[in-house]
Amino acid sequence: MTIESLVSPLVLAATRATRPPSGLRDDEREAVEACQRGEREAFDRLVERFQRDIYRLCYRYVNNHEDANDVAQEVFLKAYRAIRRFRGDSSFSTWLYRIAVNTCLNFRSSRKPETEELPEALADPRAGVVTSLESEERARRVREAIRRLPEKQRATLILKVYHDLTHEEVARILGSTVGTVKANLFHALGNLRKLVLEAGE
Amino acid sequence: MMSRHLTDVTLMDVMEDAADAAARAHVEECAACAARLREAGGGLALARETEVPEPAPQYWEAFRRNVGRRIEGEGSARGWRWVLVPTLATAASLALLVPALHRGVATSPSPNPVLAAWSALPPADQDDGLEVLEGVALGDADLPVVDGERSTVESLAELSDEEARDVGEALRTNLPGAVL
Repeated sequence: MTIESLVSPLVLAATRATRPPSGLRDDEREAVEACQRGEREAFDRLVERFQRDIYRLCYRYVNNHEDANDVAQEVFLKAYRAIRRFRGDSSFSTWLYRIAVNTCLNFRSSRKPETEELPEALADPRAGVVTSLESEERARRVREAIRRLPEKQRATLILKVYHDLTHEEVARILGSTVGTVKANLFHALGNLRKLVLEAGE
Repeated sequence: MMSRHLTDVTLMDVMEDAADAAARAHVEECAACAARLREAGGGLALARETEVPEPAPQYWEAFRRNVGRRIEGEGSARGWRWVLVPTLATAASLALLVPALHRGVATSPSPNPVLAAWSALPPADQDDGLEVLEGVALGDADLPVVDGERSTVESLAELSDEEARDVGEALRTNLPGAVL
């Protein structure tokens, strides 16, 4: 038995940290400083640069286009209000992701949950392999399963898997440690598989 | 060789190909750790399969416009606030100031203070000092009445004709125009 037989090379490649250490990129710094001087066009450039990432992050939380659109707009509005206080201690994207996660969490907490969130520890419903499902139905189940993950596991999974952030970046966004991020991600992935299997029964 | 199972953090490192050789070797020999790694790998494969539906290309331009509109709307609302807030603040200050000035005039100390018509003294049954005051009043009741406390009419009636004439002259000198 080899590790490659347990975790496919594709999966390994997908999770590797490939980004450089975070810091304010030159183009970001220029745009941020222009925003801080009150230049609206500079903020438009930042919106254009990050709108897809923020929209997708919001969509992962709310699971529909209308709410994702509203929440993503709210994220940029909050960023615009607060940009004068941004000091460049982290990258602009880290700062923006942090605003986005908080906005998504506030949005979710303002709405009554349709289903109860899972406890942190989840029992394995059965031992077995994933059965074949129609891709659309499976995608729906996966999205629903992600929605049911505990908050920290969900945030970690979304940021790490769908936004290819490094563990360090995720830790900064969530105000956590790299070790906690790794542990949360590992739990999230295991729980995700169990939930999808459970939903398929 | 490692005998204990790997932690979640180390298993994550193994998954990301960032673990040391000992950890990798452990996974290849430990069925429990291998099973956990397989589960997490399965979860990751599932997660990777789902994509967020991509909105139409025109959406992003509309999105930027809407964000811009909301910022401008907020800016103009803020502009109104810059006019409205000082105005309201001034009105609120005046609303507080006028009664305060009024009170200030009414309560400013006068050269001849007038006692309030009401008293903040406690009720008689709760006033410990009342008994003392009553004792003083009872003691004073036995004192003789001094001249100054007698009525003016009584005092004038007892004056001699010469004394009455002197008083009349003094009054006419000090109160010109008085009818005596």
